[in-house]
Amino acid sequence: MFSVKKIILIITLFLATAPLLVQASYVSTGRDTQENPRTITDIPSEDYDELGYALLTENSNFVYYWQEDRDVLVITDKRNGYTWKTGLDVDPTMSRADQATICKDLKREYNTGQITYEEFDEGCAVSVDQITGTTTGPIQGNSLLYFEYYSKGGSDSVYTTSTVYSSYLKTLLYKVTSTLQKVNDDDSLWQFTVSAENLGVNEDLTLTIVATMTLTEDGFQLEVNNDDLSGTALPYLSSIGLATYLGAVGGIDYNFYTTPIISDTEFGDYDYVEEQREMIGGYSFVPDGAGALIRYRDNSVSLSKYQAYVYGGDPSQTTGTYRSWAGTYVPFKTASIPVYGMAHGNNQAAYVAYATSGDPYMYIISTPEENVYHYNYTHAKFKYNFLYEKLYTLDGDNPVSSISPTQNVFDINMNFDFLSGDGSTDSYPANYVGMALKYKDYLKSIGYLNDITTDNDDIGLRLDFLMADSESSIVGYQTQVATTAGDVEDILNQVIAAGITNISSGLIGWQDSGVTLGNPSKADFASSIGSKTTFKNLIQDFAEQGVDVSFYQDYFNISEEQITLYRNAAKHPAGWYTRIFTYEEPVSMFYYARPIKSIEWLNNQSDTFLGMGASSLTIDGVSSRLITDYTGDITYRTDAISLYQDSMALLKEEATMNLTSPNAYLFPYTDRYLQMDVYTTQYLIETDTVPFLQILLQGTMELYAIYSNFSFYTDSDVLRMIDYNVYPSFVVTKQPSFVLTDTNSSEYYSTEYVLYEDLIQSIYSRVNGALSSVINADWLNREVVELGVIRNTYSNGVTIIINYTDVLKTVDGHELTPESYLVLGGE
Amino acid sequence: MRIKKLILLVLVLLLGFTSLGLKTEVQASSSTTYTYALDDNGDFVQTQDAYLPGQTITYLGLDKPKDIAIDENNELVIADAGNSRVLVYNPVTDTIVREIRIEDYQMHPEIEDDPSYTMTNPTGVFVVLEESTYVGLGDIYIADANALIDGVSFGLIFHLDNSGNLLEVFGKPNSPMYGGLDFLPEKVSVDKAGIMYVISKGTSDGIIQMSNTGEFLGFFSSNAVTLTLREQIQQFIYTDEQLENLGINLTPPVFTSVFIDINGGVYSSSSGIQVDNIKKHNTQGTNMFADIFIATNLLSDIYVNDEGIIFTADQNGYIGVYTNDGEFIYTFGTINDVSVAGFFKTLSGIAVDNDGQIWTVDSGNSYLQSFAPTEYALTIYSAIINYNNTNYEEAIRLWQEVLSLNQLSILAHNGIAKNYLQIEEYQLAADHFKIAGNRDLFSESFWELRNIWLQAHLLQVILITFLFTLFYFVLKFVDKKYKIFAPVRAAILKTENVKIINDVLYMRTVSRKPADSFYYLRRKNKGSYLGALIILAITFLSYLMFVAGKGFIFQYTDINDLDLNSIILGFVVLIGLFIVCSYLVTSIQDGEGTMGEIFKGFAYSMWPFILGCVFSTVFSYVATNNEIFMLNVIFYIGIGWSFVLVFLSISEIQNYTFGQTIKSILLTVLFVIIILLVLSFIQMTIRQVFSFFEEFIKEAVRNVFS
Repeated sequence: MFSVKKIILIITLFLATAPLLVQASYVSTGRDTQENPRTITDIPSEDYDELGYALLTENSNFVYYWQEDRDVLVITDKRNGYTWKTGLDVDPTMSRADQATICKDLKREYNTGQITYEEFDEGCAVSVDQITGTTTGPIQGNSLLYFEYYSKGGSDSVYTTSTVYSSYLKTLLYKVTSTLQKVNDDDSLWQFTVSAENLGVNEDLTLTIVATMTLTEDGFQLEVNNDDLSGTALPYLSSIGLATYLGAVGGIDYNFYTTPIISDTEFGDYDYVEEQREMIGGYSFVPDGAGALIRYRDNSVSLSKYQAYVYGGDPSQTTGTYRSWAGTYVPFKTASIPVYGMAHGNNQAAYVAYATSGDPYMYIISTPEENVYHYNYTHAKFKYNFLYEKLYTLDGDNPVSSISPTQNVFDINMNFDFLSGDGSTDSYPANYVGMALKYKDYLKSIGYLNDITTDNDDIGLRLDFLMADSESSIVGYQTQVATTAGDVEDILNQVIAAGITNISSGLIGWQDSGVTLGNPSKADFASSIGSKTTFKNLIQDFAEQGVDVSFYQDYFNISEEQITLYRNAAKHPAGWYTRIFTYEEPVSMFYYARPIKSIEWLNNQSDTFLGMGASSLTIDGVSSRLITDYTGDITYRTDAISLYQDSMALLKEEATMNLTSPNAYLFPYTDRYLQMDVYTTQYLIETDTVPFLQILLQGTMELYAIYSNFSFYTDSDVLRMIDYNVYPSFVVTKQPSFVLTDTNSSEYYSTEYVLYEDLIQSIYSRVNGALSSVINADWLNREVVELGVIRNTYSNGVTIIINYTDVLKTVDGHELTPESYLVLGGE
Repeated sequence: MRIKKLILLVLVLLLGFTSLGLKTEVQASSSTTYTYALDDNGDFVQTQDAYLPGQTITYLGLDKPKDIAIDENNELVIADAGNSRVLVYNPVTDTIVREIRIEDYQMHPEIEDDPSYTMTNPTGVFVVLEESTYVGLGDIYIADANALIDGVSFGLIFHLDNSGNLLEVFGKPNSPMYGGLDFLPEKVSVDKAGIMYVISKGTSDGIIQMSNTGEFLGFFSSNAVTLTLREQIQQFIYTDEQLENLGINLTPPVFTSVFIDINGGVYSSSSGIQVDNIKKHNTQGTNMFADIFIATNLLSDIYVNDEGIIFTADQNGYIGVYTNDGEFIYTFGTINDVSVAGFFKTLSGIAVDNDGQIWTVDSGNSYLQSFAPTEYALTIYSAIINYNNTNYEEAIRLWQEVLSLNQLSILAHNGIAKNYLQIEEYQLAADHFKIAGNRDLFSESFWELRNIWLQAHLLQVILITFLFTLFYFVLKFVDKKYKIFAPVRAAILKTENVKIINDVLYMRTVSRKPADSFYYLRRKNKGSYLGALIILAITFLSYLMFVAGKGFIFQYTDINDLDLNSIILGFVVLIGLFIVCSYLVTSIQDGEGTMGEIFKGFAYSMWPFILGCVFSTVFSYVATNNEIFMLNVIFYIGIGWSFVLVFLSISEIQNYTFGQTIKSILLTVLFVIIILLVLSFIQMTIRQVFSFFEEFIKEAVRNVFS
């Protein structure tokens, strides 16, 4: 139809002219990293001893105080003189109404001549935090801990969620008491007990939560063990949130003022104005995709908060997801690591918070200014129970809102580590890089991450092959083959001949019925794609050349057409198999495999693969998804994690593990991280995208980007791979993509190898040109030199400067042409 | 195919309710929504991102913005309805250039009783981009359905100059032709002659056309009510109330926006239908975009750039892009309450600036959003422009680029093919049209190819025909003299004399001499049951060939989409029922034939039908759309002839008169229908019984085991 040469020419021409096509000037968006936040010039300091705060302890880095009335832990960082508080530390008794009453009284006194106008003016001019204007505001702002529970109204119909804060006033609806006690006479170990009574409307329920607070050289730790929860309200406990307002920025003051005297007979009155406090420079970090920063802004419109369930949503513990629909939007990115943080100022003060236990049930929430309380704050809460729709009919109509009779059982352990300065003293700058490095060192200390070294001088290339998929036929389904084992051999040989040798390959849809209908519990080879012997030879031949070929399998998403659902698909507490409806064809309804089955299939297939001489495994689905299974004895998320970890620990001993977007609990078993995201969900509050996950994992495993085939092939995308230290990956077929038009793989709309031959070379050589110089080196820092210009520093003395803009830039005396990079230093 | 689209559209409405991306997706994207194009089956398929979310301007303090336009300085003119103002904003310098408010404004304060005007709810803005004697460059027209004159509410159109000074105010036209209709202008567009095209709220008569002095010129275009056959019948039978309950709307869909591009072309968008809701009007108002594919049905705004590329906004958060010919390019966007870049709540206005960036206002969100085109989008636009400028070679090159980025793009295949058609590369054009599933243009290319072939080979064809004829006669002559073909003839005769072959071939005789043949058939001199069965099998195969095996131009359904089981079932059940019913009917009407005879008579009548199927199928491979009549004639002659034979067979076998035969056939058909109805009732009942037991057992199991 059209010659290969012609197409190559076209692609070359296209790439050559690509920069010319986009003429618009560089406008940064939330997909980029902005310049450093403003410096805080005036660091406030108070004498907490004087103010009546109780000194808990002091170590070489910090002094800890406690404000008993408000439950606020005050941490003064001796290194930079910066003070952090776990709450806003506002006077809950002083509300706007109270201040108005004071003004009123003063006015009366002034009118009757008891005080002077100056005294009236001074007494009235006290600003009150806006948060005190609401009943729960100040209590919420101060509390170290809060919990949510499900209560039912009098009508006994729907559950509502109520929130109880640890520093609740005794006069209010619930009776809440909270105390702090030293444990074992150890100054650094404290026990915080919260007891609540009168919970619920019709029932008098109680709940007691005991949190252990450890004050360390890094910061502090909060632990809430499941055994330390007690009371009759326990079955209704929805979640527990910790240190909600630690590092919160913003707030509105009510500034009261008096109007001047008009005459001897007319007296001055009082009024107030709302005044937004000036935001300090800084941001919250949330682990959205690659990593997102939420800068402190004074928003003029209400924007939604960032809220993510760590390790991804649980379809079995979500209302109504026994049946749900996929969207026309890109799925929200998963928070694959249980960590968040906040930075104040320009490399001045920051904290990084991470869960070392309870992470599978952790929510990370970042609320922007203008969303109810006019503060920017970020915190974690942990999920114990959930609402779901109980079904009483077969068709699922008229569900009844219920809460689960079984709760999630786990211990919470949250660490808050404080960072100070630009990192020149301890290599942890008080910014997102420091947060990543600090968390990285923690993961290394528990053996989750280990440094790797390689003898390869070149970066890796991931080249996946889409072999086959099923389409509807006149009777049942028929397999459309896009690539055969022989084609894989030809293509790999061509790529090797072109000079790329460090290749790993995954074979997608190698089974008889292709990728969508290939049964994960079996290994059915078909001669039309490649027989077992053919594949065996293919793997062994390339193994000799150092090219790793492995079989790809998704052990999580399954369909009724693929495998029987009975005993295989995970169940929702509603009694249905948890499912999702997509717009794909021919298979549109997907289910989720039970964790125990996923592992069984993984082990079975791995036996076959390893028996065929494969040295690596490519695993999808179970690597990034977690589900609670309500079949028989409930398999909780924590159980699923143990199953996955145990199985993969054994497999890792025998094979190289290629995992698709693995969550943190699988990091120890990951050799190659596939489909690494370099974007965020792009919430409007997210101002920056940063390579947090990449900095965290760099040097401990090979990181491969999302496929370049699909909207990730332009010059700026190549620069992003270099900036984020991720290696290129492609998915190719021998046949044109349209042979798979009528299969579920129609979403792979551009894969034909001849179209990508040159692009693979071009992208690989550019990325290799930069990243080969930092193989085996540690990534030390990432700075924004100016908008659109990034400087990455590595431990071997190499600095890579990236110019994303479309103009010439001069950095450190070196010129960078538009959309280019420069490698400095090193050998 | 249509249904799939509908399902998609219905289901996407539910999207807002799930924010969990639950299935593992194969590709990430730098955008936040997927871009969809059409595949050759008419289904939506993902394609490379066309636009990436750009800037989000949150601090303008907008309140329910309803419309947006671009002025001559590439600045945004925003109808900020909730704040009763029009805002001119420059996104490059990030500044508010002008805030237009009209509050108790008197145009001639020196005159006593000069009316004062107040703008309260500006929902439509239009900026003049080409100067003329009637309108100035940068003049702004604002539509406000709730404006005030001396404090009293009137629908008004304000005409301002490019510095924001009020020049003219137009109210309800006082022409008797306009009559008692309300004048509540929501959107306005103005052409070079200063003629205003106004969309008035609640007016189903169409777009109001007003002269530059505000006089009513007429209704420019109107929407029609389109009803399905079923709805038409219902309309005939039911009362208005019943119709309302059924959701049948007899008022035509409303226009939601009107736009006049730089070349004076008038475009309009409508909401509530999926047919004809994007219109390009000629000077009489007639729609030149009849029957184009339109992706969504709740359009709220339309914008056309200088090159004629059409951009539409849909209330449900979809932005659609179409070529200057109205061909669908792609759509993207979503409706969702979460504040993510590129998501909408109620998309209300769209405009495209000189840099190609799309700007949108959303009456549910108080901010502006922009979308920057990717290289993929720019390449497509460039290819379209090159085609329009007759740079066919360049256009083909660009379309190839698009194709390498998305091999499933029927737009690219169509684009390439159209260019090849222009440069007379018919074979290549036909190949690409075939991939794109474009039957009309494929037919055109094929006609050209056939024509070329015929012209080139006409002489050879005549010569070869002549030679063959000559050869035939020579052979015949030689055979006559020397009997060289005697063994062949003997062999054929021997084969024909094999009982079963003879039985089957007898159907040829039936079609030629029906009366006699049916008599022999009945007397069992000729034909057999086995023969009849074989004939029916052949009939079925020929029919299947006709249904699934026609040439590309006439084969509308993909063979894989055919449901073989239902075709077989339908065929067997229909024929079986006809025969049984015919027997039942005739046996109580003094018919003489047995069921077996009816069966044989029916089967032996099928020869013309078989021929019709085979010939029209074969013919479909060389025919183009121009010869569709001939193709149909062949097929219907086959059917007609077979029908006549069936008629004669009944008449002959039952020994009926003409009238009796007609009566018996009508009764048979009626019986077939009744039996089919009864069968479907039985099937439904059985299913219900079955599901009752299923439910019962499941409930029991649930109670016992859990």
